[in-house]
Parts: sequence; structure tokens; C-alpha cells
Amino acid sequence: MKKIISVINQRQGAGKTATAVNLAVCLGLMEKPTLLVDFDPQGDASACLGVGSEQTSGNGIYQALAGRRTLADLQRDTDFDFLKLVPAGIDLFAAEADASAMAGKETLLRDILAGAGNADYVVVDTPSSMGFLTVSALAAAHVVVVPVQCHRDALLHLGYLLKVVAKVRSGINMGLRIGAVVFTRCDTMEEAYAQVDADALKNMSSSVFVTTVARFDGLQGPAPVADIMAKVSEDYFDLAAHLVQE
Amino acid sequence: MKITDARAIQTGEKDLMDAILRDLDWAMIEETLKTKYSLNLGADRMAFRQGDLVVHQNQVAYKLDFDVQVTLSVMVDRKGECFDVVTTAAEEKPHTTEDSSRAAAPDQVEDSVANDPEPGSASAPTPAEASPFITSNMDTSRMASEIADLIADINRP
Repeated sequence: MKKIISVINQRQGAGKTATAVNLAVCLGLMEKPTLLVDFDPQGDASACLGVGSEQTSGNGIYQALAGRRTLADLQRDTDFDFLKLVPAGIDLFAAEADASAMAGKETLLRDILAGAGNADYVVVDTPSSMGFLTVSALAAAHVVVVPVQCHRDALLHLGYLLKVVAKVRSGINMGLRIGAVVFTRCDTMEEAYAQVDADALKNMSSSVFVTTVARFDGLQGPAPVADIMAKVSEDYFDLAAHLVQE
Repeated sequence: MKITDARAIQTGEKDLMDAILRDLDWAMIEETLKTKYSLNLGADRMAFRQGDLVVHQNQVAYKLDFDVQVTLSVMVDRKGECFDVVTTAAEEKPHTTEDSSRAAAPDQVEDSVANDPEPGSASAPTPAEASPFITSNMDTSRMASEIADLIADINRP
């Protein structure tokens, strides 16, 4: 059964795009048919896979939201045999305005992704906000992966995010779960324990997969391509393996 | 006395606005809103409404109207007096009170989902929704503990 994984955090700089791209690439390298959906109008995930905004104008996920194209039409190959991409497209900015007049608008993406028949995994990158696009990604997801920076302020905003997830879960997506909490730019769990309360993190681990991803300076393309032996690549493969096995 | 086709003019205006919109630096718009109006909005809280060619401050300008989605919270004390109005998209600022004996209020104002779930959804909040909001005056341990509880509730079968 297809698993839809939305990578969510309303904070900029949490590591959403890096997590979404690297998770999708790792799943692809594990030969799991995967679709990466760039649902952030900034288009950074698309750019990471070599697809610039000039190539996606009129060819992005917004065309599916607007009912003009099918998901199959919009999918494009990547350098990875088992990974396809539906890019964002600058017209995705219009999604809020166009969808606001439609009832049940938050479930549009869910309906569209139901058509991703060839993918076992769909990874959705989302914008740094808690608007229509992010809520739609929550409504569509089976699991949510939450990248979060390993410091106190990030926890404050994580609490708000979880309240929104709870609200979406009770309202329109009762199967929604938190699949993983990923402390980004954090080399080890011991470092995470030092920044955040160790007991609380261990308590959290009883309900959800908590992991760390090592520091990775900028998104110079997918980590496994840059250096498959690097700690950061290993961390992303571990995350992918967990999401496959759960 | 009509000397040209109105559609040609309208089509040209539309094409011009589309061209301007395509090359908009959304990051700069977000930065301007942040620095000038203390609004920390993501791009998906802004929607382009319409554009027009105008004269502004004695020069030709392209006026681009955006609808911006902001939630305002009005803070009312126990006497019924409004003591603050906060936009939930604003950067967090240090909380100040006029009365030092007044109990400390949370710095963080609860935001709401931009688009509410469908009507007819469950009215009773889940424990995760109803739990005390995590606030900046909590210590790190308590924040982490509350988060762990929130996750446990969300992931409960």
C-alpha cells in the first residue's frame, strides 16, 4: 500500500527540504518506487534534483490542484531510477487564492496523490508556514516527518505544530501519525540529550522514532550523491529504513 | 471615438502583469513585510489579487495588490479591558505588562489553522488539542515533556 510521508515544520531553516529530498533519494536508492512532490512554492526540492523554476512554469503540482493536468502528466524522471518528481512551479503561489472558494479544499492533494499508482512511497516537501498548502499535506499524509533544530526555541514552535497535527487528525485525517522526529544539524542523540531534556526525549522515543541527522552544510544536492559514506547519508538511510519497516 | 480594439489593450495589460508576477522576488516581499510591518508570513499566506498601472508619488508605478492572511488576537484582562492586540504572524516580542502584580501571561499566542476542518468534524477536542499550550515561560524539560505527551496522544491507535 502506498505510504504518503509529509515533511512538515512551519519554521524556516528546520531542514524540511533537505530531509524530504534526502529521504526520497534514499528510498529510491533502496529501490522503493518513490515520488517526491515539491509542495513548496519556493521550489527548492525541485532545484535540488536539477529542475529549475524556468522548467516548471505551468508544469507543477498546481496544475493538478487546478484540475488541468493529472499527476501522471506532471511526473518527471530524475537521475535516480526509482525516484520521480512532481515539481512545485511558481504558479503554486496561486493555490491559496484559487482553492479558497472550494469546499473540502484541504483534501485536494489527498485525492490527487491517490493517483500516484506506481509509487510505493510519496514524499511531500512543504512550505515554511501553516497555511493551506501545509494543512493539505497533513490531510494527505499517512505519516508526518518533523525535522526540528535542536534548541529550545525550536521546541516551542514544535509544540504549536503538533497541536495543528492533532487538529487535522481529529478533523479530516484520523489515520495521521507522527512517523519521525528528526533533530537536524545534530551529530548524535547524546548531543540532542544535551540540548533538550534526555528523559523527555527517551519518553518521546517510546511513541515515535526520534533520530538525528548530522550537520550538512547547505543543500549541494542529495547527500548520498555527494558522499554516500558520510554520517549524514547514513542518518538519512536509517530514517528511510525505519519508515519502510514500520 | 474608438481607434483600437479594447481587447488588445486588456490582453497587453494582463500579459504585463503576468510577466511582473512571474519574476517577483517573493523572498524580498516576505522580508519587507517582516521588517516594515513585523509580519512574519510565509508565501502561502499571501495571494495576488490584482494589478494596475497607476501614478504614485508623481511617477508611473505598477500597483500589485495582495491579500494577506493574518490572524489578530485581542488580549483582554480580567477587568474586561483590552491591553494588547497581537498579530499571530508577528515575531515574538518580550512581553511587558503595565501592572507588575498581574500574573505572567504566555508570550506565545495560540494561532489557528488557516483553513478549518470540514463542518461536522468532532466537536470535542482531543487531549492533544486541549492540552495546555506550550509557552516560552516553560523550562526546556517541561517543553520537551509536553511535546512527548502530545506525540503520544497523536500516535495513540
